[in-house]
Amino acid sequence: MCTNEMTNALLPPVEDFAATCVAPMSRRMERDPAVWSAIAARASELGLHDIASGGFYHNPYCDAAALAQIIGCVGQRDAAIALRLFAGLIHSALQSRAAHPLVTAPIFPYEPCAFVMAMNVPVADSYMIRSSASGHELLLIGTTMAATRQYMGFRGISWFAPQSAPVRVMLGNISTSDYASFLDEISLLYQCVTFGLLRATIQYAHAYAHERQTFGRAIVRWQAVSQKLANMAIGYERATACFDHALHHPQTPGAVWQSQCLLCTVLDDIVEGAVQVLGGHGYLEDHPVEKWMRDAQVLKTMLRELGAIIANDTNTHTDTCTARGVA
Amino acid sequence: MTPIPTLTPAQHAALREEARCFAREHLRPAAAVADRTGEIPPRVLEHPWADILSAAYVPCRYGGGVPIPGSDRRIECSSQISILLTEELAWGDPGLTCGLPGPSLTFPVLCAFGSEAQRERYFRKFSTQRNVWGAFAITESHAGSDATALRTRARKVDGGYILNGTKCFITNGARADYTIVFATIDASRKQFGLRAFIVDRDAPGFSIGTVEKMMGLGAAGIAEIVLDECFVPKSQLLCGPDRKAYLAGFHGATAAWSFFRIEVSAISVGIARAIADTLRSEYGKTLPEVERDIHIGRMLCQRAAHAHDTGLPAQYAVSIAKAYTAQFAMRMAVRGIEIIGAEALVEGHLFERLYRAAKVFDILEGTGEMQREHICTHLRI
Repeated sequence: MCTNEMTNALLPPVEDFAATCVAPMSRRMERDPAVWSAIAARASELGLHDIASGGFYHNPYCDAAALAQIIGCVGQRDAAIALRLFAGLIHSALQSRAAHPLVTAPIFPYEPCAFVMAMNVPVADSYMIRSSASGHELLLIGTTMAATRQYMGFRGISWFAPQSAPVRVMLGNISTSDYASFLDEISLLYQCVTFGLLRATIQYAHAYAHERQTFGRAIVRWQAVSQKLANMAIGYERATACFDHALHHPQTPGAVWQSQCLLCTVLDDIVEGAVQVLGGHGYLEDHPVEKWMRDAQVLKTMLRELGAIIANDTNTHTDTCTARGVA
Repeated sequence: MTPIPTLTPAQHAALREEARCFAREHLRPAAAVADRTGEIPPRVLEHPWADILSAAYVPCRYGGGVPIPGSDRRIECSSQISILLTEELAWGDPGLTCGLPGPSLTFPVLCAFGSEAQRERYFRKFSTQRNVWGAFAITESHAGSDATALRTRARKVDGGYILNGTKCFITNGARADYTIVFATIDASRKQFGLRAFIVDRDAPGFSIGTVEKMMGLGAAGIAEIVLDECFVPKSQLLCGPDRKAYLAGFHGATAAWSFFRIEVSAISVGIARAIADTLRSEYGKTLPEVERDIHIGRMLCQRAAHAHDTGLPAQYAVSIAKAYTAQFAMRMAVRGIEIIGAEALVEGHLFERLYRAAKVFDILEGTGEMQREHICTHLRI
């Protein structure tokens, strides 16, 4: 089967899975993280774990564009679930650049980032890339995890912060170009999830603006509201155009980084705009836009922290993270 | 014209300092728990400043007023004095600022349209009892800024009115001892059909519906109010000094909105200041342009408050203040998180709480879009 046919075969069941399994569990998972096991079981039946372990590029099941579509499709229903389902992409991205086989385990993809991909799992052993002036080393580390922390968004996920991380084994060096492309792949994953969330947000706000009436007409007929919706759409399309370019030209230096910078710029306007369009209802837990606004802020921070590493930025923000990072 | 009560610059500074001290030492430390549980901690309610704030919004002749620092005298709480207090309290926590006991939500309507007997009865409660709340109920699930589209009905019966309908997003609705409820006697008469009633918590047919689960402002006790064949005696209808109930309804709502919008603007300034101060004191980040913008926000609030107090047309100044400060607070909340990073997103952190709270001030008491419509109308755009 060629890639397009495989994609065509994959997408409808994933859409069905997202609509019937992810969407109804989205709010429940915020309160009861235990529902994750049911979602993971369904995803496993669909083969999503296999797809995630196939990597972003050279995936045996679908091409990068189709994979982006699949991740976005799940992200549209719940960003936290999508990120967790496809976290295997980070592992496979590291594996493809490592000289030694890596056991299947959650990893710390990069040293100074506060967000550790050890979601809900207080791992004992994991991988870390240590960067220094002389290059990048891949290490197997033993970790002592601090108590879980809850973020404003992604409430269904417990994040573990490393307290100490003694080096167990050095697994060799990773070239600078491999390290850069590894970070790019992580960024692509985050961006796919974010685009899914933004698409859902715009669609929801648009539908509400047609339905809700004030002063005898649908609010979409008010110029202030229609222009807000138009600006949200422009921001989204700008960001997706840049993302498509990055996705299809992985060798172009800085393309992924530019795409994520633009995404961070437009993201706030879109999610806040949606809450604004819904008015008081947007602020209630009865509607999903308040959750999307909280989740978007977490995604944006993840992208910005990643961006700070990619750009090798040395501003205060990175310093803060570094100071908090593993020893 | 009634003279506007004013404080000397020294008294002004002293009052600000006292309010700031209460916000810093009592509101800020209690904020995270209050936001999570929706309850105001007893140590806040039992603090003398809770009583001071409660009495502040009561006219002096009913035993209230704002105590003048360094003196035994009290002064009427003008809008200009109120924004000073509100900004400082919001610096401590915007949710608790909205949720503290007192008549601040009913004060403008009662002052403008309450009869002497109504004022005596309801204002006296606040100067003689502790922890009494008042609420203002106009919003319905389908009608926020559009007061002429209310579906809550008032039917005239012997000795009073029967109210039927549901109100939502009512600040302190879950804990209010009495609520000013807006209902229409005839929807076809638009604003002239609107009436305002004082409804006691124990009125037959009055009940608290769902306590709203919201993204932020957990301490504000925002709830739904259900009126099911709720009987209100005629004496509880607000008519104003001219005994014109058909004007008191709509004008009461607009008078209250004008006052509330200035208050909400001051809360937004308080939020922005809380973020700027924390960035400077805890993270060593000084943002000079932010200091300037905070000053601008405060000036806009003062300009609107001055127009409100003097009886000048205030809507334009009020809309400018609200439209600017609400978005500024939101920008500051985003910026604070961007500067601090993931640490700021951990639940309970000041910045994540302010981020969740800041958004609502661009929505309640007339959305930012509504304010822009008012500005365009004023400018004849």
